[in-house]
Amino acid sequence: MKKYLKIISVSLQEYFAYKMNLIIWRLRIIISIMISYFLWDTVYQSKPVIFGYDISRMLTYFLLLFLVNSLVLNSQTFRIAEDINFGYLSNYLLRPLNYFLFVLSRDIADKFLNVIFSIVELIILISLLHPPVFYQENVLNIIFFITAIFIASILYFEIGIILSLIGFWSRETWAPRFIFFILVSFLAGVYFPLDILPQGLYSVLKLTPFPYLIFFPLKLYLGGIERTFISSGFFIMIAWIILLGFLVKKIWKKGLKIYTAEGL
Amino acid sequence: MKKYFHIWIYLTAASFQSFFVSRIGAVLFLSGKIFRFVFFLGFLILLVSRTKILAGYNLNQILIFYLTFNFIDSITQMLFREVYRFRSQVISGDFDLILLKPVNALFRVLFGGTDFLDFVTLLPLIIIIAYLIFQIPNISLLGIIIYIILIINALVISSAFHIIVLALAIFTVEIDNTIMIYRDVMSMGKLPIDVYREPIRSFITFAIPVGIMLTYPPRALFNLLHVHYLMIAFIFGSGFLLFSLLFWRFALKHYTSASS
Repeated sequence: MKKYLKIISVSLQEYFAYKMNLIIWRLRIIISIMISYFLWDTVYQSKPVIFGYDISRMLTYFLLLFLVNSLVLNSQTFRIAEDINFGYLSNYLLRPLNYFLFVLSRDIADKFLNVIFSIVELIILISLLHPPVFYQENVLNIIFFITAIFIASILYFEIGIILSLIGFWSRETWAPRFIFFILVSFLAGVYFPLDILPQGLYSVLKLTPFPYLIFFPLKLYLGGIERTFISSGFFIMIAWIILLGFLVKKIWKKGLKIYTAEGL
Repeated sequence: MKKYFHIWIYLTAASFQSFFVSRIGAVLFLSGKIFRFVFFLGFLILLVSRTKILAGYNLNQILIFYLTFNFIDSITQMLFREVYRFRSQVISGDFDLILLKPVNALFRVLFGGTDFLDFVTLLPLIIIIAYLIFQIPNISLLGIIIYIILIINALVISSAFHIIVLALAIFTVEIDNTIMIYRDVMSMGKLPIDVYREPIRSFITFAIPVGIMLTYPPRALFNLLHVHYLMIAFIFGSGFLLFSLLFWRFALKHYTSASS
């Protein structure tokens, strides 16, 4: 346990060595979320309720996106592909540590720092923009919200690992990741709440892991969600985690068999 | 001029050959860009079909804003791909080799990696824009001409931005993502700047000229741009290009070749 805490600490120090990169990264996230925020802010100038959302719920959705995005979608799993392609993986395999716990420690450091930044950004934006924020008073919804974020982080962590394990077979790991990132942006609810989509498409989407990364936790916070969707949502998330966990194990084992430490 | 055209053709052909080295990756990247374009287009259609009007514009007009952004963005990415590699050339010292060649260094690092993969997206964009223009009533020939001229002006401003990014890479090695910041800020222009509140609206019109680059051309097309804004756009375009060239020369004088 101690060694993994040390990895978290070293990873944090690594970030502070390249402060400007971190600041620019945060700036990029602010810009992308603010585009959606202002778009929806303008939409509500003509109508009080659109797609079943009032302005306070919709703008809160995008403000909370800062936090959920930092906790779920910020990940360092892409570095696994680099470890494989450049042969660094050999160093980790020789060390007395679990490689996946090592990756998880790097991820925790990344999420921790980004969450701190996102909270500060959120406070600044709320005090500057004075949006009509929706405060959830039902404790159960808040517990569901926090639980869903936690499970979504594990889900995204597993997806990130699988995408990086492509590195065992190909050096082209960025292109699949790029496509996946675009799919996540639209199908996870980064640009809009997914229940504004046509019903048929929305129902199909609910079977995939995407809505549970962003939309589902935020919807739990905002409330007005059917009870059946709460239970089925958590069930589908856990089912995906088990399935992907199994896949990670299988792909990792197969990959290690053909790993040649190329690049060392 | 002729010599540089030949060099550009040669460099572009070399860049195109690199596509065949990583075919799958290139096709996946292109597919990703097309997905992103189609998804956001679908979202805008879904949204504006429901609201009818967004920031005072109807659906066809909103789509023209979005398509104009994509057109300018695609050309920029196609032409200036080499800029993304410049920082590593400075760090590795490879820039010295460029400086030694009898070709203008700025030309080489700006146009040296034209990526024709983005070219395939341009023709469909032009066709859809042309189709939508015919769907919108009261668009004059003069409006279309000014629209095209303002797009050229936007490309001039975009070139200036890329030159400034190149110059900055000589001064500092810490800024890894300057060009990505430029692209993110530009992406604010996929919607008309009327969507944003003041003071952000003024800031992205004049300080970071997203408005001049991406909102002015469609506004001129819809006959919604006053003539003095046209003058501002052209003065800004030429002034910014001049500033970027002077900044580049200034940066070159301070290049120390420390990495070589």
